Amino acid sequence: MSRDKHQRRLLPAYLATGSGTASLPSTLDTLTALRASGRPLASYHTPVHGRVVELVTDGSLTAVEIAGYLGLPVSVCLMLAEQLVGDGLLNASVPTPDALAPSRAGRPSRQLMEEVLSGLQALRVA
Amino acid sequence: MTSLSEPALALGAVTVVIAVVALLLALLCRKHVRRGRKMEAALKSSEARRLGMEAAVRSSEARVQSAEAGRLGAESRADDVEARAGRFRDEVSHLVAVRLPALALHLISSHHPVPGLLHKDAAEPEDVELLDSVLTLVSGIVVKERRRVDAAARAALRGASQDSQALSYRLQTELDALQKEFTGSRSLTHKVLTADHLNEQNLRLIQRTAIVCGAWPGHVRKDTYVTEIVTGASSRLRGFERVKINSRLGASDIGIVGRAAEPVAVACTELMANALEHSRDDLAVDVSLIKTGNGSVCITIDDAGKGMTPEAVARGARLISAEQQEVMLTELGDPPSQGFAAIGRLVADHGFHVSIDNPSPYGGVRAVVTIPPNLLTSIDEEAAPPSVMAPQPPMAPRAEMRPTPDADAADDAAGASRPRTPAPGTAAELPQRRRRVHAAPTGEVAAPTHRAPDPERSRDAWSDFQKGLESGQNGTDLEETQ
Repeated sequence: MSRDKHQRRLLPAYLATGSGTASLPSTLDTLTALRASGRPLASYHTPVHGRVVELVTDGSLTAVEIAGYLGLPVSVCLMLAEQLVGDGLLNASVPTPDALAPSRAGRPSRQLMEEVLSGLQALRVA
Repeated sequence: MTSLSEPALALGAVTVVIAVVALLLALLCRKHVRRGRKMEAALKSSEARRLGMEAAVRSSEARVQSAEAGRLGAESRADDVEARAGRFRDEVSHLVAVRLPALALHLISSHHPVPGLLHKDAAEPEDVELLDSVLTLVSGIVVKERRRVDAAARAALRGASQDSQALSYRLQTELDALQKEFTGSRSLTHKVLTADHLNEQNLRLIQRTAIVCGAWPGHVRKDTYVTEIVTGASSRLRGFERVKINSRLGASDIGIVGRAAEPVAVACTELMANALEHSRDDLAVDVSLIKTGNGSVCITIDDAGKGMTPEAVARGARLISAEQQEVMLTELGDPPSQGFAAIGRLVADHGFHVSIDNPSPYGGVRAVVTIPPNLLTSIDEEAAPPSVMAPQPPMAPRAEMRPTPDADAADDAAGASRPRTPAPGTAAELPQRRRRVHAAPTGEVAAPTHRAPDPERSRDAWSDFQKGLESGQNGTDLEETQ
């Protein structure tokens, strides 16, 4: 969070999470997609919680991306996400490939996938 | 012949005898005369001596008489001298038994008075001067020695604190790196963050002690946003969540020049620590940042605690005033209250101002840190955006942008499911990639209109791609042929 590596850190990451939080389960992964559930923030949430929720209000982002935007360590961002998911402010979803999505509607047809596959194979050959 | 001259013989004999006697007498007489003369002389001299003696006796009598007269006077004078000596003795024993111990107490705390002389009116001026000079001398010696001992203690403490501070900074660097490098289990993160916070609290205590003992804050920062300084200051305390920071600065680019950044942070930390310590655990400490009309920035720290006694306020105000040159450890009490002393040193060295003598509207203490314009600067927000952990710039402009429901309604009316305008405030500061747009439940979006599987087009696209790839692989040939 320091803008300059030669400068001593002023704002420690625990400011983002708040101290005294109970230990949390490690359920989220760095690539877990997060999205705001629309619930309002509580008073015990830090401003950074608010920023995270704000970021994913209109679309999903993974924890790593959020960490990148906010300039926080990924571990801390995962912890924030864990807290927010625990509080019900974020919904987490494992980023499933489209092809594995339960609904086939709107997905590419088998034929197209085969063509893609053959195209890729042709690329490899070339 | 004998018969014939017997009478003559007798006569002659008598004559001889007489002559002899006469001679003897004459001799005797002469002797007597001589003795008589001697005796006369002796008598005369003795007479003269007698006269002298008499005169002497007379004079000595006179002297005795005058001495007699003097003796009576001298007796009363001797009484005076005796009384004066007694008083002096009394004064000296009073000095030893009462005044010097009182002076010792007075030198510890000026609340203890030093009593004056026992007999102030009767005392001789030189005695008063002498006795008082003892007090002056003793107090001078005590103060000088105290300074020396205190300076030695401070030097020792300063050295130890600075070493410890350097180690704590290294630990901070390691913990920071640990947080950045590893994304292990949450409990690990939690523990690393806890350790980081503990280290930060430790660092604050060490740094404060070092500053009280005459050290500099330990490092120089670059120009730093006021909001970051204040937030960073709160992070060094246990219970920092209770510190609520509201930025009412007109512009968000207001920073503090590098040389004053850390000192202001330390001063804010100490004031916040006081506020947190002296208010209940469930009460917030309000911190607000205001830019005043004359260009200064005021950091106001309000607590809702019991407040300080007037004596504590006076003492604190004395410690934090810039006039306070030297702070002695012995003056700080036990345990030493170092906060104000540290602030005092920083204020004297860096020229910002701190006041603690205003009552808070909540009944507690209101501490105000005033940073004059010469310690302020503006920071390029593009080059160095403020941290997300710093409080956001004022909310008011965002409130004006809030009526988005109308826009949403218009969008909805238009039937467009395009992404909503990004949340105001964040968009301006952070580039955002909107990866997926969940405009509605997936079922509805599922209408296959926008992604009709068209084998022909796909094949064309892929062959274009392949051609492009080939042209990339042996571009020169193709370019020539084309």
